[in-house]
Amino acid sequence: MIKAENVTKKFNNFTALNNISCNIPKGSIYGMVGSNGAGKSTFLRIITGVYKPESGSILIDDEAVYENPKIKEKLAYVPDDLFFLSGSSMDKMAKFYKSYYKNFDMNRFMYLTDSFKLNPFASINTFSKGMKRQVAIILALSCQADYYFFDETFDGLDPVMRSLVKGLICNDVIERNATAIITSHSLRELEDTCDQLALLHNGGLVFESDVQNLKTSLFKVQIAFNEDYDKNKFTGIEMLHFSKTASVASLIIRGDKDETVNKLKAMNPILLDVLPLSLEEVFTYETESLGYTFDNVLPL
Amino acid sequence: MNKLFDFAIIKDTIRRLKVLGITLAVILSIEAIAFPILIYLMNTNAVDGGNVGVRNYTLYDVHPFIFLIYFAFAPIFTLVVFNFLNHRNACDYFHAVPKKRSTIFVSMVTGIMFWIVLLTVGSTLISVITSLFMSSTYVVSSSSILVVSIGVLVTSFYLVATVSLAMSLTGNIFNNFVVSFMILLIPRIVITVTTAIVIGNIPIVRGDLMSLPFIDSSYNIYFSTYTTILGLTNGLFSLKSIIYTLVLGFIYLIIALFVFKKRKSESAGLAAPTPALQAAFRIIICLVICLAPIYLIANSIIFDSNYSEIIVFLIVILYVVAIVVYFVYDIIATKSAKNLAKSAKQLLFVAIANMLILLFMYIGYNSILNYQPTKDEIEYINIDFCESSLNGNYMSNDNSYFLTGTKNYKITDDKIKEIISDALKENCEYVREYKYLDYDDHYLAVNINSDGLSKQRIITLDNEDLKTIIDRLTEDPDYVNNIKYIPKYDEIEDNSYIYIDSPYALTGKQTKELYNMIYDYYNSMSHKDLLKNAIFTNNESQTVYTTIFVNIYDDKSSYTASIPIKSDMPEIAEKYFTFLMENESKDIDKVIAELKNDVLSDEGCKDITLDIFGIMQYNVDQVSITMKKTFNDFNYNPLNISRDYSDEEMQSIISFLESAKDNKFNSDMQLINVSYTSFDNVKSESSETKFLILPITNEQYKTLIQMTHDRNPYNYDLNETITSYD
Repeated sequence: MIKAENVTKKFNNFTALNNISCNIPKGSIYGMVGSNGAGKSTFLRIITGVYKPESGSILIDDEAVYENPKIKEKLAYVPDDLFFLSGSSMDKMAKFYKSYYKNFDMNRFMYLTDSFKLNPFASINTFSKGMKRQVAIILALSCQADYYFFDETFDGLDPVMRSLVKGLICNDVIERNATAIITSHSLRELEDTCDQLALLHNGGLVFESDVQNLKTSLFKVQIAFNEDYDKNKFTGIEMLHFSKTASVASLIIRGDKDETVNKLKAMNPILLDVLPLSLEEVFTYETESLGYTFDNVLPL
Repeated sequence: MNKLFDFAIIKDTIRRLKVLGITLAVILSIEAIAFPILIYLMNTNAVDGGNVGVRNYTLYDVHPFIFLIYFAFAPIFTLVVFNFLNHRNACDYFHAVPKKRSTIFVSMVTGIMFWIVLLTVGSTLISVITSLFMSSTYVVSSSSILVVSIGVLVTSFYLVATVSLAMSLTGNIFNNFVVSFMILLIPRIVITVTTAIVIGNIPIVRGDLMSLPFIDSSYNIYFSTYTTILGLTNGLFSLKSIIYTLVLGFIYLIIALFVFKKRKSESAGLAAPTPALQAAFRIIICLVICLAPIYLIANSIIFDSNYSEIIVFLIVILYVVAIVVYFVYDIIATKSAKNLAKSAKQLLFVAIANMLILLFMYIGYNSILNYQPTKDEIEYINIDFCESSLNGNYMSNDNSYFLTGTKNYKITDDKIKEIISDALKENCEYVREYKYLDYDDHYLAVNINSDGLSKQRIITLDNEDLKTIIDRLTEDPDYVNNIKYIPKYDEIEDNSYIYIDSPYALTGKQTKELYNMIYDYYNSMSHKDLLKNAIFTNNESQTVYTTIFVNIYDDKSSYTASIPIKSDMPEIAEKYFTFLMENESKDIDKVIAELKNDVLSDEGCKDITLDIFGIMQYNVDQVSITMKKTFNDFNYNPLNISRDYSDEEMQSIISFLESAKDNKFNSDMQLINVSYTSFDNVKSESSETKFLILPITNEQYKTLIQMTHDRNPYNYDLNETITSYD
């Protein structure tokens, strides 16, 4: 389990992370979204022991990460800005990894290399950006780590590769109870992979929730009445958003769907439709309720 | 220990440097083979020139490129291995791996040192083995093999430590270089320059005689490499410099390890991890440039009080340059001009540092001049005659062999202490008032020991005081017994090299015979007589015909004895001249016949040049005759021959030479050198110059002198000269 408590990180006078606290349970796939400069990469670098926070702590399996080789052996990190040894091939990088990571599995490496149809002996410098990202993913997955960290990893992959990689990650999570943290600036990338999602903005954790819970706890209702009405008619129902055009109102409601629908039916509306929300819409309304404009927080 | 050294990282570092290491190994190997062969070929030509024995070389002489291992290879290796510190992605990667930072650092340094050891030991072995095949003309000193190779290893270690420290303190390649050189050179430059300024204004102190680790730059092997290349110093590797460099290397390594551990990964790509550190770099760079105006201020204003407007103007200009460098460096290092206004305020620290340096120099200056112990305060004195000058003849360490044992002799003679004390006081006050010191003919390099401290000084003193000191030392049996006799040739055959300073070639056998005669001559003397006759002699009353130089070396060092063959050694001088005549006058009858024919005949179309001059050293200019007979007509008409001397005179010279050829040399006679060359105008061929050395009586010599004087009457007083040959 990863436990972050009041983590703050500054670069000279700039605060990159401000008092972040979160718990990431073992065996989950945790998504982190946020705009550029939100602090996602910084957060990952602190978790992987690259940066040391100014204050607060991050514990993995109840131990601090920074300068702790025993914990770092359980981690595999794919940063957004990749690094390979100068002039090396995949095979050389694998040997390099094997010297640092005790659990590095050469068989798995060869299998994945073959699956991705890459030449392990060609110079990585000759690979495209997407192929380099694939190499980094292969090397990370071959480490047989307990915790994986992917920083905007999927952004350079084509849909087929994206799907393949997601499948591999899910496999590791299911089979070995691994934990993965994936960051992206696109919700759509993460919604069908992650168990939990968090939203980072200006160094702060704005919102965090279980994905399933998010999808089911919020829903949209379109309703109309013969008589004139306003939002006060719906007192007792937890409403995140109310808008009315003519006699038709759109409500974003948090709560048990069946119970709420029964309550609304009891009001004898002339129109009552229950519509599902996309994750993006959920995020939009959740952040609005916290006082943020979603487009400012996560511009599309 | 396991935690500090990770075999996987070491192996990976070695692998990463493989291409570079192998390339440099090939270059060094070629040089390690080529130089010994080159030296062998050079020495082969010299063997027949009257030199005896085998030359002794150090490893550095036969493998000079070895210095590149620490000078270039070690820093390059370090820059390559630790280059990840300059790039965010690489730095993040290495900080994310499951190893402690200390393990990464120490293991990488170990990987670098593996290559350094391989290159050093490998190239040394190749060089030594190649030299073994050339051992007929030279040998490589075994102690130097050890000292030089350990010196190279230690200095490489020092460079690796320094560059890794610089890279841990900075985040881009520009600043890697700047801060590396800053750490390597600036402390030594500041110390050397400021010390040189102070010592330059105090003639009683000689910088090259000061052996304090912080002042004497020979302690720092890396810095000494530059001064050696510039020809300012000699000798790089010694026990003291190796120990000093090793200790400094360890200190830097520990600091580098600490900084590496503390270093934030986000520093990669930045000029420095913190603004404060970047400010420190800026200030130090500026301070180095400020040494130039400091030099002018110290020399012209503080120590001399003699300055002009031009000097003041120059000082201002130099400070302006320093300030410009301050800002330009910062712009280049940070790639930004945003902080210039803020960094301008820190020039105050530069100003304070300048004032402190000048203050310390002033204090040092006065401290040196205030050191004037009385005779009773002086415990003992050492005198190094090899570094002194006696009677206007600089006695260099050409005679270090004889005086090896006297340099550290503790002189406690009260009279000598009094002379030195008084002279020192006089010198100091003179320098304080007049800012210079006239060394006149002689000065002594002394170590004055008082209150447990030893101070080196150059003392100038008059003839009488010098004579008193020499006389008292000569009468001191303990001092005199420290004088070494030259050894017999057989004892030093394998570790010596003897050569003769003579324009006339002797064979090796002849040189050896002369040396053995000198050995017998010197060994017949007491220590005291040897001191008087061989060392403390001004030779003014003697004629020095030639000098034999002996280089004797052992595992630790090499020593020289210069042994003049002079007129108070008649048997040896006679033997020397006999050898000359044997060598140079083999075909004397044939040459004189040929000469006679060419000089006196107007046929044959040959231009003749005949040179005669005396070869007893002091009279070499007193007989100098050049006789030319040249055809100045294209048709070589005998009627158009020009001659420097008349036919009668030339006839007279030829007769003179004919009569001299049968003379048997003894020490009462003079020697002349006759060289004769002819040029055949028809064939356009020049003959080989033939030399004759002939003994002539004083009467005959006077005749020649007369002849020369008649041509050049202003050369000297003829009567005085002729009288000396009566």
